[in-house]
Amino acid sequence: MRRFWEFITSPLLCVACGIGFFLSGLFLSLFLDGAPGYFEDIESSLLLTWLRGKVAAGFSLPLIFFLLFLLVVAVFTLNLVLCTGDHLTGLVRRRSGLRRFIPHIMHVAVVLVVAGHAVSASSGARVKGVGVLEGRGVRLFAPAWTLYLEDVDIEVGKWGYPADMVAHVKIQAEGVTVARGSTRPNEPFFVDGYVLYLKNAGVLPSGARYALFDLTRDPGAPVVLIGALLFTLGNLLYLLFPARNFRKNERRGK
Amino acid sequence: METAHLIPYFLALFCYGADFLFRVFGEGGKPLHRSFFGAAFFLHTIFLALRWRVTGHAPFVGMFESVSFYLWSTALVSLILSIRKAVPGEKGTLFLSGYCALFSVVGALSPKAMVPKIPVLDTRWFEIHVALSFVSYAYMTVTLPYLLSRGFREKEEQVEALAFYGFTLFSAGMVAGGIWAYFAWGSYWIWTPKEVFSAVLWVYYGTLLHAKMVGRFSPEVRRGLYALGYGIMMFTYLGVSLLLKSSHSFR
Repeated sequence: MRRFWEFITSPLLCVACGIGFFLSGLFLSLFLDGAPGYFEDIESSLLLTWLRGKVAAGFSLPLIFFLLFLLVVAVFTLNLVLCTGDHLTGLVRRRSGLRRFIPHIMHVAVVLVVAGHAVSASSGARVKGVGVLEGRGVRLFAPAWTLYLEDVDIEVGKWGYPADMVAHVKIQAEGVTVARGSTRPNEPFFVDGYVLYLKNAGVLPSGARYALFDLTRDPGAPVVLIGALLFTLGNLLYLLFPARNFRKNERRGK
Repeated sequence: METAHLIPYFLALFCYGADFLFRVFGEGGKPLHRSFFGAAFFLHTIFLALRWRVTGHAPFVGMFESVSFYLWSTALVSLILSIRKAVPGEKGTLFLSGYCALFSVVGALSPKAMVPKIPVLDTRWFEIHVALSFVSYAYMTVTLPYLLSRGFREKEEQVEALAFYGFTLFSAGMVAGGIWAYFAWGSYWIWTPKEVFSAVLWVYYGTLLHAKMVGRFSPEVRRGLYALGYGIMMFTYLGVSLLLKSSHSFR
């Protein structure tokens, strides 16, 4: 039991996960490229919903490698949690300096990223490709809103490509306006935990203008962001408080 | 201006090539920053500024701009190492010079069509994400002369330091990319080969930095793991973009 504990908290398992992640990621990437039909709907629903549907349809090679990839992520995360758990009490007891805590700050950060993503993948929402004509509305079902496109402006730039586009929208629930605002590329519209993205806009042959929207909800996104920023902070701290011989060795040429 | 801005690139290509040839035929001892290499970097910087002005966006889009910026980043990090007298010997200098000359040719052979400034690229997050990623690739690249030289045991800590700088920049680049994707694409993560391989590269380098703590890996095994890291980086950057369909595809 002790040897198992040592293994599961060890850097050996960490490096093995790195190699496992590379191999499973390589095969998964080849399947993402080679079996696009299998993965075509992966972005239009939650990951958990997508996985349930695929497992129910039966196992296939792309699914096996996808699950293998997730398994490596799970083992890696477990390794980080247990490694930090194993070391943290000792570090506190010995009143170790900040530098010894930095790797564990980074471990916790990675765990937060994985946990936040797991929350989004299981309890978020995806409504993809909602097309709305200017001056008209479209009824959504989850959430039970009606999305109105009040107007859409498209600015055509150099070489005839759209340089900018902005959609002015109104959202109603049971006939009552709950939000009104605008969205453009890189500036989504945040409404009640949901995020509305303008994906495209154009003019139909009839002359009517339209806009295409995505509506998403990622409840884990703030946790992922905190984890990512914490990891960056850990990285910077590591550079600010390097191991005694780190900078010396980096400078020592030839 | 639409084609004249390429002139500094071709002059830089000439200087990168000249630097390499001078080193092959006898001027091997000159540090990179005091040779044609420094001039090439200066001309290349001028080209990037002109290209930015002409296209209206940071010159990071498409095969040519991407290779050009990777080359510029690698030249920048090579110069930093040269100024700090940290390039491993004449052979290491020759290697970096030859590597940059090779990539300047790859860039010259790539299609140079300009991509207009589409709305989704009109954000600082795009520029930060790409710049950090390419400088991180450069740090991972400059580990190669150390890995190829004799006596890895004495150089391992330098390789570790360079890999850590690369990993730090790549982490920050991933964070910037995630923020950009969240504002632009609808999620901080999408399932395409590029995103998967970026995660692979990040985890691989993160775990690789633990390799020394594993007593059973000999220095030669660790050298092999670092070399594999460079291979993963190149596959993430060029392999995925050229061979697979992804969000960052050149196809």
